Amino acid sequence: MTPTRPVPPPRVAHLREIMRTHEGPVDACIVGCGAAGAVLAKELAEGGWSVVVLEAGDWLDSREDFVNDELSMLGPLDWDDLRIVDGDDPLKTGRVNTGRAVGGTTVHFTAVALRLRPDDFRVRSRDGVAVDWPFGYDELAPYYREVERALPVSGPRRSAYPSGAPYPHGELPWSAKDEVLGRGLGALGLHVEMTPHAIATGNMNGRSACMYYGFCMDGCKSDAKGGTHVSYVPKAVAAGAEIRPNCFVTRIESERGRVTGVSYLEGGEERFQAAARVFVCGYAIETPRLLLNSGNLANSSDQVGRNLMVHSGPIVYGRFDQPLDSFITPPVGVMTMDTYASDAKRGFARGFWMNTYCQFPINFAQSLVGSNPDLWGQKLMDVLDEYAHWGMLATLGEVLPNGENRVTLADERDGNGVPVARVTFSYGGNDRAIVEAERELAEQVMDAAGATRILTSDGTHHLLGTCRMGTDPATSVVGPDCRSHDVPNLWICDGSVFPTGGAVNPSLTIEAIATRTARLALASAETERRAA
Amino acid sequence: MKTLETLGRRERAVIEERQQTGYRVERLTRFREFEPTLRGLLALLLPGTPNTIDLAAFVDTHAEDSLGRGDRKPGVPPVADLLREGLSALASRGFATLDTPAQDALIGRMRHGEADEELSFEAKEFIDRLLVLACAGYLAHPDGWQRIGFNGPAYPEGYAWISKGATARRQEGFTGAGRL
Repeated sequence: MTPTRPVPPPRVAHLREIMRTHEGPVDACIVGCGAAGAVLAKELAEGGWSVVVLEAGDWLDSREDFVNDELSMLGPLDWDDLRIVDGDDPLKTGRVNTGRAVGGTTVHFTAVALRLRPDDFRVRSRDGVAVDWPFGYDELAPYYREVERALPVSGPRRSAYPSGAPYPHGELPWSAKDEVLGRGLGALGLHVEMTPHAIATGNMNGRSACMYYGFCMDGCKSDAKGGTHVSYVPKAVAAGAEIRPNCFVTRIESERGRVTGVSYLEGGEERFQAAARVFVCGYAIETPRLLLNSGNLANSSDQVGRNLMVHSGPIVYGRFDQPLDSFITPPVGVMTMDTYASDAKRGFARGFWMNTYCQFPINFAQSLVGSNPDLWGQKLMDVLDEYAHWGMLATLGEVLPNGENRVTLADERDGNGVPVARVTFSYGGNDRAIVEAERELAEQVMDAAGATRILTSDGTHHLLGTCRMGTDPATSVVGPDCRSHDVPNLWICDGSVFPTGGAVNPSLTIEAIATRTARLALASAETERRAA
Repeated sequence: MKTLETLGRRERAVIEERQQTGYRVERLTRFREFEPTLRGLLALLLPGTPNTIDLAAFVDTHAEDSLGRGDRKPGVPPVADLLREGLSALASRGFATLDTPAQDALIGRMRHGEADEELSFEAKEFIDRLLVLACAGYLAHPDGWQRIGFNGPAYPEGYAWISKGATARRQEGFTGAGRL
């Protein structure tokens, strides 16, 4: 058991004041302070290691630096640097899927905190497609539980689905959109319950309970939302980890088959951090980009960058006579997961689910005009004028891995002269069948709920794959403990290690994997020390 | 919308600044030579935008900002260059002097990806990115919120009333609701 330390409140000025700093080589250098990096920092520092975390983005204080304003927060929270996108279905990148700040993408995520299910770990065995994970649900379950307590997760006391219920905090209240759209779901015979969120509904550690601002995706100002910047970073700092914001890692250095540290830029200055071990946690685009830019590191399998996955996610909009004010309360409300499990009768493998949702005005308009070429001019203004009357259903569908969907290096370079990522993505036939089913069912729900008009936008959520984990070094980049097959003191730990993506928001799983990875790394170091 | 004195310092400053300036600048810097074309396009893309909001100035100011998106298709220029190229091409074809039905028809063809060859540039990418940028300007302004029924910033008090009935009552004061 680690000793219990008092948890400092998540005020950045205070954390900077009490933070230890490290000079010279450290036990672990972590690249990226998001869902995985912050968890690793806390766990490894509590395990007694000296830890430095290099984060490309800024360290923002939720009350001082976040603004309840959509436009102000477009940019400061996002990895919106250039990425070249191609394939049949070029991805949008930026706010929609990648963050850049201490806390990473969990600063702007919707905080949905669902576990993967047992079947998600054995897709090859159960469905005859894709691959199995190198471990099963039972291996991850205790780590899920730990993370759910640490964030904390609020949700229903009982759930109709395999899940973490009962959750540490009580569920969020149903808002008008949940009442109205829940009626539509119920009319089709679908089960409805509140989605579990990494959002506190009670006060803890200097964090307020949820205030229903609705501005979750612009940075939570009450600290109720458990992004790792408020849930894990204060504990990491208390345990002695050093967080260095605004440090962009350009290269992982290696010598004779082992990494020696990382080169990075801070305020235009080139620096080097020596480390006994390096953990790369840059998410599914920046992680492979960094490895490829580091002399094709850890890539004897030629799997670095391959099998990029997303979650498919048409959003269906319904217009109601009564106002819904969907923008109040967190964007994700109630859900149904009745369509999640594989069902041979549907003609495709795997599945999808849906939840009530809200896009703030700019996002709402931009998503709609991007998918509906006739929406501009008066037709667009008519939709926008009734903004408060539109309800939304967001769908999330599984996308199967495909080696041709991948991250490579483009000819273009960024402002630091580092080649940018080229992101190639095309849906496969099974993926398209799921998208069609998602859209069709969501439209039926809107109809059943009494919508007088229905619109749809296409889109994707999340980024997964590109450094898959597995037991065979010929077909995977890291082992089941996220340690590189090729380089014994290099770990990759973030959404990129997922062999398949399931269809739930990945942060909770990333955090559970990071907790497990840290424990295994500490244990194996101890074993190696004793053997020596 | 909540009254200014109930809002946080940062939230209040954002609203006051936008209400005071409406994004207006003394003169456009990037697209000044194409100003009539730009204004003509924006008036058709978002007709009836309150005249307290200067969308052309917003587009001119923010053309080089990523605003949360960094993706670009191969061969497509950066957004600011794309906008310049498009405005230049439309200006040289006398877009601002066409009658409204002809302008509407051309925008429609651009939006549907049917004008790239005719105009010999990435016309769909151009009009889509211009529209997306203009939407950000319109929907970031308090007068836009007032019209569409969006409550704006919530910090620090938040909302105590979130049920269906409370929602209907909250919407009573909005311009948009009165139009229904």
